[in-house]
Amino acid sequence: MSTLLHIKGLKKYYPIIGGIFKRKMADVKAVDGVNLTIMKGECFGLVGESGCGKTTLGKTIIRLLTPDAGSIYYNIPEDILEEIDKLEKENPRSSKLRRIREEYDLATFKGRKLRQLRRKMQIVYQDPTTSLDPRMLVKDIVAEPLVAQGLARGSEAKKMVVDMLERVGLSEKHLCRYPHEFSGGQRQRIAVSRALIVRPEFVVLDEPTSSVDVSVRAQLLNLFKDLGKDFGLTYMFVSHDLSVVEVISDRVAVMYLGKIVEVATTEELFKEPLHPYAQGLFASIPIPDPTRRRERPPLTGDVPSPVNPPSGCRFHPRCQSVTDVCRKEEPQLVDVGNGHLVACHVISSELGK
Amino acid sequence: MTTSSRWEEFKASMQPRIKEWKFMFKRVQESPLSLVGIAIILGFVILSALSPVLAPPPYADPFIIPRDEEIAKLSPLPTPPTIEHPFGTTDQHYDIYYACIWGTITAFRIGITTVMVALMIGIIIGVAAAYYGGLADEALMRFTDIIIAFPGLILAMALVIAIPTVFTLNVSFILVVIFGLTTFFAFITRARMKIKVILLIIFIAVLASVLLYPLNLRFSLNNLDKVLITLWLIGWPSYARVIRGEVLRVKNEDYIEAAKAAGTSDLGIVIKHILPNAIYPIIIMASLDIGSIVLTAAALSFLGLGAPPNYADWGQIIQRSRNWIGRELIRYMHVFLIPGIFIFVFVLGWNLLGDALRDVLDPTLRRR
Amino acid sequence: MTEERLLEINGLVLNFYTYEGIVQALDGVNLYIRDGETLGLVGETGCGKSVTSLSTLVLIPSPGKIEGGRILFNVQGKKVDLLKQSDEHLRTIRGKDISMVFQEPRVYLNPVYTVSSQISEVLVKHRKEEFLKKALESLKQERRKKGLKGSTFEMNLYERMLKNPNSLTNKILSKIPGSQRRFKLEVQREVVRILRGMGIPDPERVAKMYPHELSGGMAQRVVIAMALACNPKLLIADEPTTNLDVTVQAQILSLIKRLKSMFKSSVLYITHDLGVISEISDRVAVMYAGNVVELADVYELFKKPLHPYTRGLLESIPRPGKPLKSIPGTVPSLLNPPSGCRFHDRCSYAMEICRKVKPAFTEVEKDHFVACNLYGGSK
Repeated sequence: MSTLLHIKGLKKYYPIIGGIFKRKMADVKAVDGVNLTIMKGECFGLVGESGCGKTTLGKTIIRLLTPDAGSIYYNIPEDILEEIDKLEKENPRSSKLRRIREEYDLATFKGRKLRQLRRKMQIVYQDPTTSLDPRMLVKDIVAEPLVAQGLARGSEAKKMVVDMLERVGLSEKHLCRYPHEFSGGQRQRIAVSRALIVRPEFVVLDEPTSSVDVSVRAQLLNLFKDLGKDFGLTYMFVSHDLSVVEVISDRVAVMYLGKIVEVATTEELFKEPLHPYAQGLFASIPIPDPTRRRERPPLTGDVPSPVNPPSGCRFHPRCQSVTDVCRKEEPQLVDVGNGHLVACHVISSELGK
Repeated sequence: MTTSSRWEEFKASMQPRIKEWKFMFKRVQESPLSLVGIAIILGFVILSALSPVLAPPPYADPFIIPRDEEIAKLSPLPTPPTIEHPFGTTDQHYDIYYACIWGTITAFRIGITTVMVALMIGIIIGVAAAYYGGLADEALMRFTDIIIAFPGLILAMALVIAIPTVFTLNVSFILVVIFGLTTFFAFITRARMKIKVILLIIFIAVLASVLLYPLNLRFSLNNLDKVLITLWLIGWPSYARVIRGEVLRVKNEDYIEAAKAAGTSDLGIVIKHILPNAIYPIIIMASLDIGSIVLTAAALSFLGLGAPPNYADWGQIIQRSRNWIGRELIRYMHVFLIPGIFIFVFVLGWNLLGDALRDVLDPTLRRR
Repeated sequence: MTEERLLEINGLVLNFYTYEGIVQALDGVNLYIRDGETLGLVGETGCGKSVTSLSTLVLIPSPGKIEGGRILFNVQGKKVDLLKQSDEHLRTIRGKDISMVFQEPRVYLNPVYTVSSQISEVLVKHRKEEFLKKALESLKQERRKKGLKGSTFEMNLYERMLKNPNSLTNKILSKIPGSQRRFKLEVQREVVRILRGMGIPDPERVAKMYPHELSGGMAQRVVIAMALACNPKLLIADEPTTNLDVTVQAQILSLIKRLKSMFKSSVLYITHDLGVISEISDRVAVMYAGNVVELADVYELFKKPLHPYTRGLLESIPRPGKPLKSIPGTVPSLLNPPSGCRFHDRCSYAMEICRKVKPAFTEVEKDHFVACNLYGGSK
């Protein structure tokens, strides 16, 4: 399996503007130095609580947002990646590095190049009631990417739209309706067909099942699985619903306050999460089985503000096994074997022994 | 594709829209006052359509009010309604009936053109400010603030006086500036080389032709034109403000970002997504404004800054009763009362219609 | 077995009259809550969960109209039909006997008042006498300690207010600045005590905060504190944790559980999340398209669901390693609900009778009610 995306030191800050002179007062550090690799054809799950920056990360990767730092290499040959590593170590300002980055790094893309990128990367939003223009008919909504990219128009576009709608379980009779005439699940199908009509390679699914009902959710998940197989898609599945992520993802990353704290295969992570936050998060999910009730909440306290994240390890104020080094030094992602990455001082020190 | 299937497709695509319209109609029916408003405006439309029949124009320009100069020489005072002059005459023997009938067209012309132009300017400025934000937003909105800061009527009076009667437009200069700026921006941004070259050639061609044949356009404006231009210039800021707010709201909706993700260009997003979702409040505002614009125009006419003395305009007729403010006002009240009623009903009609539109279009009242 | 039913809803029918037609939102809802238990009400969007809870407070949203049924509530040992009470009587019941917590806490907190002033408002409204007595007592004690006799103006005022709570003179006197210092202090102390009971760290500081300074979980705690301030018999919680993070949700759930046993209140907990339901409730009512289709003990329901819809719902929970199952079709529009059993067009057990006859809500086993034609004959 080859890698599709290499993400290095990605940062996205939102400025807080205030005062009479509209100066920048502080930054919301939504994504603060994320390193990731996503394999071709896998479904990569990204979990975390609200406000941890998971949606921002997804949108920054497909360049709906401009990152403040870091690079996103898409579909890059291994040897060039090695060359970049070498160049970065030797001379980060060399013109050769800049040239390579301009060609491969999505973070530097602008204008036409960026618009062409939209053919390869798409997104499905959380809430289809807000992501579908209420004053457009379904056929125009679904055909929009085709028309915008100049791929098809007129009857050709219509045929593609009908094909796509049928593929997601809708039909031709739905073409001339407004989004508000559909149920939540159907609307999400419309949103999916809009995303997939340009045949992208990489799709960010931003909590696509959180606004639909339980009985429909399973239908949608099955649809995503089928479409992923048929179109050879690579997914990034962003969600706070761990049970859904467990079913659909191949690998999962846990995010906390703009940082990735743990990455592992789904089986490994759900069987034995290592990072204390991941443990607390997994234990917090209510299990739909009254015989397995919890006695006490596994984590206390709230998520701190991403404007002023805690020093050192960002989880240390809520962590039960906190040590001195956690308060001072920021832990890095360390491979504990089998591609299982954890950013925790306690675990890496145990590993060192 | 055969014509019948095209027709079927068209019918199918219209069906949801017809459903919406039916719903709107039902909402209008629910409030009798809005029906009254629609009836009033319809009545005025019919009146203006029938005006050549109701009051046949004696001169080539139908807006010149007919007057019997012989009688005017005998008695310059207004005459009360007679069979010949159903609404009476003003001093100098101008026929009020004729003025009122043809004044309807003038009122529509003032109201609708002003609103159209003001809407256009307001939309362009408001959308540009909101969509691009930052410095553009700051500059455009402070400019609108400056215009809003002036009391409307006083600004209008100053402008009417300030606009020259004969107006020379230096077309050569404008052309050179427009093409020069376009070429300049093409060069500082990273446009395609081909486009740059073509623009440069066009610019040189324009420059050369303008140097050879300087172009000047001369306009002569009558007072009514000046009033119109004035109203265009002072009407737009409120629209710009409201649409800016609406665009700011719509801009953050997910479907705008989804359109960006689809690769739609900025202009496409504005036209296809932002405007249809942001425009309704200002359409409601505009319909409510038509009434008040006609009122402002009448006020300007009353102050003697509006239509020329023989022009069929309601405000102008009322202006003619100015001479009798005082003792004889009651005696000659038909001079101001009858056109006054016309203005009153017209403004009322638009206000009621505006309310009706709000009932129909207000997105917060939409079902679901 | 003592079966004291605190709230009993029988055959509640509620319609919304809209432009497009009559939305038959509730079609004979039956459920009951016993003293001191938590009833979980679970269902999908638009099935009528929230409408049911609002009808319990007789707060029906605008085009809606209750067309039939009874809502019996136990007020001081007497069962009264809430639908037949006067507005005035209902107002005393709302907030005091029944109180409610909603999904979005910040909507129900006034942004211009501090947390403490909002909680104390509720306290003063419903428990004024208690605080007057407390304040009087503490003032008396203080004077006794100092060896003083007689009484101050403040003490006289409290005594007068206790004797004659509605007198106008007292109201005017109490408006004098500083005249109620001790009373306010007592209320303030209670506010802090309540906030501490909600598991809020540093309650003195939080009490002085404005709602926008609170995090979502914190705001929800404050709303729960307000709801429980007057010790209601029934707490209706309408998806109180849906907008919260899972770690905070776990905290709130355990808080509600703890408070419930502390105050001996009953809870009607509304959610769409089966995990939350199994975590918090003693019994569960499952709603589908305006009907309660199954009502049973939580262990029994998860072990042996009887209604086909409940089964489908439990099977559609994603479980790794198993193929994902789902209920075919979509939730029907309540404008034009299916005839007979409203679930029949999505039901794999549908029989001819289901198309025509609306199944009765029957007790199939002890305390296990089902509305399904499959079990209609077993009784």
